[in-house]
Amino acid sequence: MIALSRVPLAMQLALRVRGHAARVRLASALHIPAMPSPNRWTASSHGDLLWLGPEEFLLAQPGSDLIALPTFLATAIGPSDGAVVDVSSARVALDLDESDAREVLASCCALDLHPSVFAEDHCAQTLIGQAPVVLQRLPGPSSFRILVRPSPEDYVTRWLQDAIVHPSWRVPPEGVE
Amino acid sequence: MPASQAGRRGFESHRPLSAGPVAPLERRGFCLGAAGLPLVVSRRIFPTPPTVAIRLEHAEHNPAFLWRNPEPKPSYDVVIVGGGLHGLSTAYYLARNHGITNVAVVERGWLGNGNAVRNTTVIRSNYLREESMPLYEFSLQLWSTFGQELDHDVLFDPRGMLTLTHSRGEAAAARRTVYANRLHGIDAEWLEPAEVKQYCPIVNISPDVRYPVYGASLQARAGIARHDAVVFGLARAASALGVDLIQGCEVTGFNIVDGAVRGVQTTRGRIAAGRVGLVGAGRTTLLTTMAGFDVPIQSYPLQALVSEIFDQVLPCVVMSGALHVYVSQAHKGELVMGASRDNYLSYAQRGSFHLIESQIQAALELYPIMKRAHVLRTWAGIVDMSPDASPIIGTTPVRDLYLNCGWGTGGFKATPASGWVFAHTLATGEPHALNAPFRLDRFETGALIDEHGAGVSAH
Amino acid sequence: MLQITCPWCGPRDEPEFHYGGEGMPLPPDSTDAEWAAVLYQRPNPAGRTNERWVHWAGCRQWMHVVRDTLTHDIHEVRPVRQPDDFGSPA
Ligand SMILES: Cc1cc2nc3c(=O)[nH]c(=O)nc-3n(C[C@H](O)[C@H](O)[C@H](O)COP(=O)(O)OP(=O)(O)OC[C@H]3O[C@@H](n4cnc5c(N)ncnc54)[C@H](O)[C@@H]3O)c2cc1C
Ligand SMILES: [Zn+2]
Repeated sequence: MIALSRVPLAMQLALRVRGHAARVRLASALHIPAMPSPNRWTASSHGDLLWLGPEEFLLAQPGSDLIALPTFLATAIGPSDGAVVDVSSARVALDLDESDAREVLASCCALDLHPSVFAEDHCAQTLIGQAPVVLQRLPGPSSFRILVRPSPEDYVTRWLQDAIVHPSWRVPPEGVE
Repeated sequence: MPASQAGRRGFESHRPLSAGPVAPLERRGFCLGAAGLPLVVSRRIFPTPPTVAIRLEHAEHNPAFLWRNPEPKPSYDVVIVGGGLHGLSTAYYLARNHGITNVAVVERGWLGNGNAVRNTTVIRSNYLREESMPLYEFSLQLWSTFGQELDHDVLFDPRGMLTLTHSRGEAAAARRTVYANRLHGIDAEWLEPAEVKQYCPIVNISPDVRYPVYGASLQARAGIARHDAVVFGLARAASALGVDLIQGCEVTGFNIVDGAVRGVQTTRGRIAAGRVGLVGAGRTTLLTTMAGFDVPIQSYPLQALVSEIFDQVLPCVVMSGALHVYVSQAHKGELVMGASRDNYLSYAQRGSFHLIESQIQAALELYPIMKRAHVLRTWAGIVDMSPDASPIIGTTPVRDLYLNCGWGTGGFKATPASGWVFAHTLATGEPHALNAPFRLDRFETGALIDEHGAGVSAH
Repeated sequence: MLQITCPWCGPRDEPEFHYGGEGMPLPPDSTDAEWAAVLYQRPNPAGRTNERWVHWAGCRQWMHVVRDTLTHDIHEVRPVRQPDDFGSPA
């Protein structure tokens, strides 16, 4: 049975960071050995940290110390090497959990999501239908998180539900259209 | 040689199959494939090829070949480069209007292999600028008698064209064009949504869609024609007047002496010429680079598609600028659909599938009835895009070398007028009044003729 | 449809990108003809062409692309900014 659920995220922070030294300072503030490389994510002490671009990361689902966190991270980055912006309401999270999740996504996303290509630490900014999303592979055999702007959320949900209800990847039984 | 082979090889043309007296419209309609590459698919569309006996019986009225297929002569008064519609039309009017018959049209492939038979055949004259309106209106008037003129039915069908608007701003702009058209004696009307529905019942005017219809402008005299019939008719008429149509002959260079062109180099040898006209849509800059000057033209793919054949459901042409789709129904019954050009330079005569996908999404919102239709085939032509979406017709920095290009996504409708004015320019050395504003140096003087807004997808 | 290998994100489909066209020459301060060339004259090669594309739906970085207009083959993709500025691409 398919599970498509909307997951509440306590906070999302956009982190812009320029230069090697600032990246090292930020990583150590987040208790990780290094900032994630392109199209990868890592679990940090303050939530999932996703690579969005060469100077840009998203910190999602931070669990503790919410009010102080932006200032804490901004201090680690330093005044002239980047910025921390609270984007908590910029995206909603949809989790897709089931054995066919990859096939469901294949109906509307062009990326190859086979585990040998899109492994557990992978993430990507890409398109679902025509909507830009951040796609995050979650731990487990076939689970994905989709971070999408609120306005196309309905559009993305419909794409996914349609693929769940009318699984085009399954060969229809004889005689049935 | 069977018709389909002749078409594929391309160097001989078979007569159209409507043998004998003029067939009823539905029969005539199915003669040749709709927009696209008709000759290649003709085999599948014709139910049964006519027998030899029938051919002989009608041979007198329907010769097996519509035009001569001569070897190039060493020299001509005028050489026209490009055997598309505009090149053929130019040659025809050089002979007909100016008595200049020592003319060759040199074509690298076969006649009409380019945009001539890849377009979606929309004909209209409701442009916006005072330079454009007279040119396109003259063309529309020539269309109404073009078939008789060429003694070849081109199936011109002035079934009307709606240009839908989907916002207040768009509606205001469309009304402005309606007023501009009327001031220039061009028929134009504004229709409210309910009137749109009356004129074209399958348009969805529900306010509940993402881009509801705010009304439409209507040009009732606009319409469609059969592009391949136009190629055949022009080729036959030009050939009969003495023009040499030389296929499989690519121009590879120019002989330029003291700043004046004296002939062309081709894959079939040198051909001397008093004057040369360049009408090589899609490959214009390759030609002008050989001749040593620049023109502000870029080559982009423009795609179209057709569905399978249906009963007539669409009585007119309908265009939607905001949604980037336009649809008409060919005489034979296919839905013919086009959209905006692709986004990157190309000479490959193909485009990207996501454009087809989005044009279908738009069409389904406008015409829910089409959701059961299938895409039968898609194709692309390479169109000459100019900075102001208007053509360039006139003299060049090289003496005796003239240029007719930049028709972009909308030159089919201009076929008769383009040939008329370009023949005048080639014959007299001076532009006709109608093409005088469309000179190459307008990009220096600043006298642009901006038609980006005139026709949404601008066909 | 083109598929462009983003230096950061790997192979992605064309709808994720915007075409940035060819580079624009610097404006001169002299004749009308030179101005016309700057404003309106763009390369239109039949063959290899140097283009810019931006991966708007992915890393949102600009890149240089060498593409063939006759075949649509993509021969080279390079990031506009040097990878050292950011760490290294995928
Ligand atoms: C998909 C599509 C839809 C369109 N829809 C419409 C529409 O609805 N209404 C409308 O008005 N217009 C439309 N157009 C535009 C219209 O087709 C063109 O503007 C018009 O056909 C261009 O003129 P042409 O017929 O002479 O071009 P072409 O038929 O392309 O002729 C140019 C010829 O030059 C030849 N040539 C090039 N280089 C050389 C060389 N070196 N030596 C010898 N020969 C050479 C080519 O082989 C070609 O045959 C559409 C175009 C496309 C692609
Ligand atoms: Zn990228």
